[in-house]
Amino acid sequence: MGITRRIFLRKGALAVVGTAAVPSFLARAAWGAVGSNTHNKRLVVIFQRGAADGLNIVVPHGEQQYYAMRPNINIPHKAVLDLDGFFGLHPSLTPFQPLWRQRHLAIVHAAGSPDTTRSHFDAQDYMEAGTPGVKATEDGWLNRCLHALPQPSEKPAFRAIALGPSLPRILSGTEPAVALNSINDFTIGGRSQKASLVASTFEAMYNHSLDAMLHGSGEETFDAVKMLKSADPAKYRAAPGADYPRGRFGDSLRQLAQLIKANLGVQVAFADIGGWDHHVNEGSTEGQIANVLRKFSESLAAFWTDLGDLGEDTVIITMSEFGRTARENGNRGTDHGHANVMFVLGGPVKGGKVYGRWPGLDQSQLYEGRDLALTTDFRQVLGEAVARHMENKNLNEVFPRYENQSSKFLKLLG
Amino acid sequence: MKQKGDIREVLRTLFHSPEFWADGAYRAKIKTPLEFVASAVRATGVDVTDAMQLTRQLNNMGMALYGMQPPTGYSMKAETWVNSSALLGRMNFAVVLSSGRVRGVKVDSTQLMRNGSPPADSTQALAALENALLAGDVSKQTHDSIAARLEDPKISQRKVDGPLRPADITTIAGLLLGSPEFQRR
Repeated sequence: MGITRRIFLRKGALAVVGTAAVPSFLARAAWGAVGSNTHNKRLVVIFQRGAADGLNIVVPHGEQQYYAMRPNINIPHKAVLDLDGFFGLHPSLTPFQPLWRQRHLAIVHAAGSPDTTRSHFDAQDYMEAGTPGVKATEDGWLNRCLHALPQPSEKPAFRAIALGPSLPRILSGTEPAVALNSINDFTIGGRSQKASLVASTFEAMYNHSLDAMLHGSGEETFDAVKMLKSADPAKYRAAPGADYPRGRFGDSLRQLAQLIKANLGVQVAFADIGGWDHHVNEGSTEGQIANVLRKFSESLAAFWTDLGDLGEDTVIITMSEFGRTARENGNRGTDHGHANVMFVLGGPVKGGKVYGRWPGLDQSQLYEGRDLALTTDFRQVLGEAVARHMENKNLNEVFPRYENQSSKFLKLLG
Repeated sequence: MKQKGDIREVLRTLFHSPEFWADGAYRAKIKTPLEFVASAVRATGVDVTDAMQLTRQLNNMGMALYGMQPPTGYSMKAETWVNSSALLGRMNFAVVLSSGRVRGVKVDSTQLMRNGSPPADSTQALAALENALLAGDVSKQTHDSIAARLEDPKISQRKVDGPLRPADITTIAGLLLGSPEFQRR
């Protein structure tokens, strides 16, 4: 293969990115030359694994039934951070208040997967595959969302990334995606004296290998390692005011911000946070749910601050496999339920509003007599982001077997 | 079916089938991380006194031991296990294992050489390790890539006028364990 214009542009861009003295906006412009403008649009998906209790996260404090059904673990009126007179945030979500006021943060309540399963694994699988009720889907919707995008002139190694040790279901598929546990560990041979020698030998082996699969994957790997090295994301310190809390989720988002700021061409990204399965002693304003919500909101708010003007082209969506029972159980906890709450944060988001139809909590309004009913399919929310933000109109491929007409969008993106 | 489910007969038929011995079936599958780690430990003959660190390595490669929660079990497909971070994990494991930097695992260089003493000559060491770790079946590309670097002082461990020292067989072994050939079975 000769030196094509594409390769020249790519190498040129790398050279610019690799020069620390060049202002970041110039480096960004260099990347802009590589692909179309859609390259700058980013979709970040956050999964709350374990079924978060949406009713104690965005609290329907205007609903008497809520207090009747949760005598011990409700969030009292005086503790709720009111949003619109009917809904309010859990007090651990204080970091979300400014984002709500600036209208960057929108909420979709009574949303989720329509599938009736109460199994964590099945439900997560369905939401990541994007095909509730269909086990046979082999790839994830976030991967398919790239697949159907107009073919970019260049495929950056970090187009799709998951923070964590292995590639999650949502990003598996035909588009190359990188799982990254820690930026520091994404090297060959570590910090030993022989590292560069070892790395160059492996590279020669894989580059010359006739083994098509390992050759291809090896090439991607060495490209990614080199790109990461030259972009040196570690030099992008968190912006002032971006105070990530300790812990895995904060680390994930801090590193994701570094990768985005280092201009590695990130288009879709995924991170997850566990610790939501509160069957026993859920707590209310204090306790288990308060603690995990604090980490959740502090991490996301820090990430948003850290992105700075890059937030303009970023949409962040949170989801969880299902909600929890409307009533508390005998152990001051809640059990597996149905509909839940989703947060949508970003530059193009028309925030400061709770979207979706509220189904109510009266006995007759509950799903199967016990759970918050579902009024918004999660694919409606994701579909809007994929079609209107990522500009991939081919929703039938991203979410097969689902009528995802733009007329049904909640219109939460400006 | 005719043998009423006699597993011995089924296996006999399988093993004698032309498909079983076909060239295309040789090293046709990518090892899962568990297969990779287990085969690396066996091939090097290292002494495992504490397997905890090895299981931790498996976590990093996305295949926590007995940790697959959905009843479907771990995938046997190559696509699941061949991606950038997985390959990095494998190459790095190969290097740390053979250089004895995995806690609870002891590397003995005479074991590595199948009870021969490590030759001083790097070319001989490479040939011996190719036999020991990959039954001598190494692609020209892999062999040449390593051979081209044998004279690097970091591997030959030789100073221009210094005394002859044994070749750095642990680095060579690490390179072979991380080679494309060793990822297949």
